[in-house]
Amino acid sequence: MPETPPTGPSTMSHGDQPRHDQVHFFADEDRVALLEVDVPDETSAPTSLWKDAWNQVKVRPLFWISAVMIVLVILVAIFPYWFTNTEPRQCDLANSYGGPEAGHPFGFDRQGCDIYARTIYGARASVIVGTLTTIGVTLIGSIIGGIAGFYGKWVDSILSRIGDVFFAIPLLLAAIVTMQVIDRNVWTVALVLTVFGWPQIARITRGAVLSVKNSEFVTASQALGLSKPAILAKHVMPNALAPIIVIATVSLGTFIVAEATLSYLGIGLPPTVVSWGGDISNAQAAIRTNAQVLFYPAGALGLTVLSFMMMGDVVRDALDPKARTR
Amino acid sequence: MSTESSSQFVASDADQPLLEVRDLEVSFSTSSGEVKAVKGADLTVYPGQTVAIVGESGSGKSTSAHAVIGLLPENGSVTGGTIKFAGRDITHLKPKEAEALRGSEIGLVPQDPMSNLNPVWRIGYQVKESLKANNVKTSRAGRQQLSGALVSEELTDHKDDDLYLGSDAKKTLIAELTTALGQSPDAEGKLADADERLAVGSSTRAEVRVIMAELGLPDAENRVNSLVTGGSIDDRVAGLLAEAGLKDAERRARQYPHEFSGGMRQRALIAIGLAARPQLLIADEPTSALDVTVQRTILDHLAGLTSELGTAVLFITHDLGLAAERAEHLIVMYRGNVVESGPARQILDAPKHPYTQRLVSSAPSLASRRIQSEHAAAVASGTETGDSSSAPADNIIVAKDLTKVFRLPGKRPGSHTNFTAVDSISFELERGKTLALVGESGSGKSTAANMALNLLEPTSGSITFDGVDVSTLGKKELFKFRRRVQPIFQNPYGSLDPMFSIYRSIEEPLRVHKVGDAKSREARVRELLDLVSLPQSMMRRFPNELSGGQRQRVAIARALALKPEVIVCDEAVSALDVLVQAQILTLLNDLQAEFGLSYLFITHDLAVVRQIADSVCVMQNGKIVEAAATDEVFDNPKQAYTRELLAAIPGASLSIGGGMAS
Repeated sequence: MPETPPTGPSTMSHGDQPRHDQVHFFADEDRVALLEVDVPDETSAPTSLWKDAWNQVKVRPLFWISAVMIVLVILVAIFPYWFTNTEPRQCDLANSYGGPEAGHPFGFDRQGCDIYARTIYGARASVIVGTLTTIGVTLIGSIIGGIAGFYGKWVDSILSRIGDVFFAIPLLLAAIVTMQVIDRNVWTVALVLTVFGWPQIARITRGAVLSVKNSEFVTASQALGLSKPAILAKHVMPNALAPIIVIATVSLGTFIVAEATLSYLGIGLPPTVVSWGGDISNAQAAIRTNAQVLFYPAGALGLTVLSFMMMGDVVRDALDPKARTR
Repeated sequence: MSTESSSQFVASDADQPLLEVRDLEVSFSTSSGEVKAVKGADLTVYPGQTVAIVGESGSGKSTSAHAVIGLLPENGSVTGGTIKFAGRDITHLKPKEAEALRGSEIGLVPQDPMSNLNPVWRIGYQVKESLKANNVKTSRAGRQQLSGALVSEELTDHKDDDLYLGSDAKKTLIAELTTALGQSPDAEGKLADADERLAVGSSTRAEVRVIMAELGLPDAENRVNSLVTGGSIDDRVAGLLAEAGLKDAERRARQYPHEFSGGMRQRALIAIGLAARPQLLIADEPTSALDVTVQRTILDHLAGLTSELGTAVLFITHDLGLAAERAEHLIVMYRGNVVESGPARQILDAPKHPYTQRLVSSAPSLASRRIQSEHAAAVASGTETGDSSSAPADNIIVAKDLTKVFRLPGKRPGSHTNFTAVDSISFELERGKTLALVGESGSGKSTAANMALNLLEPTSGSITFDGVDVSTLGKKELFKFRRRVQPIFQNPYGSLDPMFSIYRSIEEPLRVHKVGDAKSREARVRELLDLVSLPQSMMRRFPNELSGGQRQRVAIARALALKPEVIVCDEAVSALDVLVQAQILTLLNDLQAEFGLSYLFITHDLAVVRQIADSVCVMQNGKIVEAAATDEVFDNPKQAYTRELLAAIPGASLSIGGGMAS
């Protein structure tokens, strides 16, 4: 309790004392010291959106699990020979559907190829197609979406309708049709997926840009004499980046699945390229008798996609202000 | 049952506190550990009394009130002290018990009228919901039972207050009155009078009896007693809305929130807060988002309504003038503590705690004068020469017949309607002086500011800057013009790019205009930070680490970077706490004296105008209704609208804030 002020007692008991509202109470000056008005806090560590996000992400186990898995997948994709000495294309029909043995832990498939080696080498195609497509989609989508959102009016109408047209065509259907007529390799698969996959990112970007472009700092830059393209590039896009990154991370998994689906259908990568989708397709003949032939490539595909999706979730929690709990 | 018993208990002893909070402590668990928001607060509200909690943002005033009504956020909890309501300890109620208490015994009028009504439901439905949630007897069976009992038995007066006039009963009564009055000369006037005074769902049986007897309905008592047997729930909803001051309430109840203005929404929220006739109403900054004139009518109405109903009000506000005007008893909170409490007058006249003293002395009000800081005076005495007063007025900005018409989409596709935001206004800004454009929301003042900044093209009329018509500027000249006129905006959270460090934010204008090299730019940024009294170490930080006032300082530093001649301040201090606001205004004043800046000051707050402006243009509906020197406008307002604005300044009638003048 503070010391009793001279104007009257401020004790809690009732009785013959005056009503509380008649008492002029004031706190002891030492108890509630007066601070200078609005003094900057120089002691706290400087932070930014990215630092905040990092601080939030680094304590989550899900982040570390998915990060380790992603790094592993990327290492496998770049340096498959670090993980196996067996050539995936050197097959001996004598080993057809052979079980696991020393040096061949997963056994052999129908052609007598080593399943472990094929699973390891299959990562490259998936990761390359997934990464290339994501980069392409993000670039095209964010540029078109950014321009549409920022300039508005007829520019927005035209770009958004073009996006709607591509959005209306199912990604796989379009890929099936176009892959029939063009040369099939990692690059063309990525290209086709990019051409039909960008509208989603464009829409997200357009929305994010719309919410940023009316900010006062944008008006302030206009009053500064900054040109419109410069404002878009310097102020608007960096502030719209968070949702784009989130969608990009999640869709990387989706594109890996799309590549596998195309290869499974026999219209993705040619059989000469080792890929999980192709191997899953080849394994279906023996699902009942030799399930391990299907299990390993499918499991690798599942884990890879899962790790990218988990990473996307963690990144969204860290970057999306609405999902942030502080 | 519990409602009745407790209300009788309170009514019998007005000297017993209705709400008694002792040593209240509230903590929030955050990622950086436990944070104490309220540290031992005491507050007492007696029945029927209005008590105001005053404090700046973060002082714990809203948190205390939310603890009382059991609406703390999930990570907050009461960690000490007691809350007693009507003699009952409600500190740690179970969720069910707290629900029963809320609405029926403690009502709440929330802060933001825009987000506190559900946009998909009609207003009437939302009022009805609050009646139903609190079990106000409105079910058909309950009403029939009650009215049956009342008609048959001898009627006693104390039950009359539970019975409201129904819409059918009103029609019948008016019809009977029409026949009774017949051809008498004043029949028409009396009927109109009856129609106005008989409020469906709001007039009680006793009131209706008095009204009808006065107007000359024969055998008024018996007729009224048999007819007024309680209205339907829809009648009651209309009555509640009418009580809250909504005209044409029955029709309004069928509308949706988007059809209401901010003031009307706040009235609907007051109707909801008072629907179940609580004994205590907590009003959390109920009018902070509204224009001053709207604020005044709503608070007047609320005061009348609560005193009529005998409801106690706990009023939360950051505005000392408003609190002192509206409450008998003030509680001043600072950093989670109650630093002073007592009768409003006593606190204003003799503030004891240094924080209260500071608050009282810097409260902007009618009594305050233009800021005269020592710094400004020193600079002025050094530069002022004898002939400056005799020289002809040197106007840096002259706006002539400025008009802006916006095209809005019409009802049919392809059609459009025109909306005139700014209607042929003219003003002059003298070099080195401050001109304020004052007006309420929608008066066109911000549109005018954007045209002065050359961000919006006028539909007609012209703006002359330093003798040159700005509409004739080519691309290069426009770029040069940008250097000479800079804006400062209202929202301290929106005016800085969150992705830019403070250094980059302040440096950007220099880089865009290619001033100096990297090294000289850094020196200039350091100089600018000194100018706005921010430590140079803030350079590496990001806007989210700064308080609103500090961000506004950064915005000022950024605006000053290019050594402009004119700064357009669009509500630059409106979002800040009073003390911070005074600090920023003093800073702006010092800078003006030092660099001879001219300010075009856009604001809705006349009290601020008096502190900073040399001359004022009062805007209403896109037109300038009054333009004169500041003192002239304040001491001798010519227009009714200006007088209304002046009268609506909170605390206008009280002599606080005199510290600035003396």
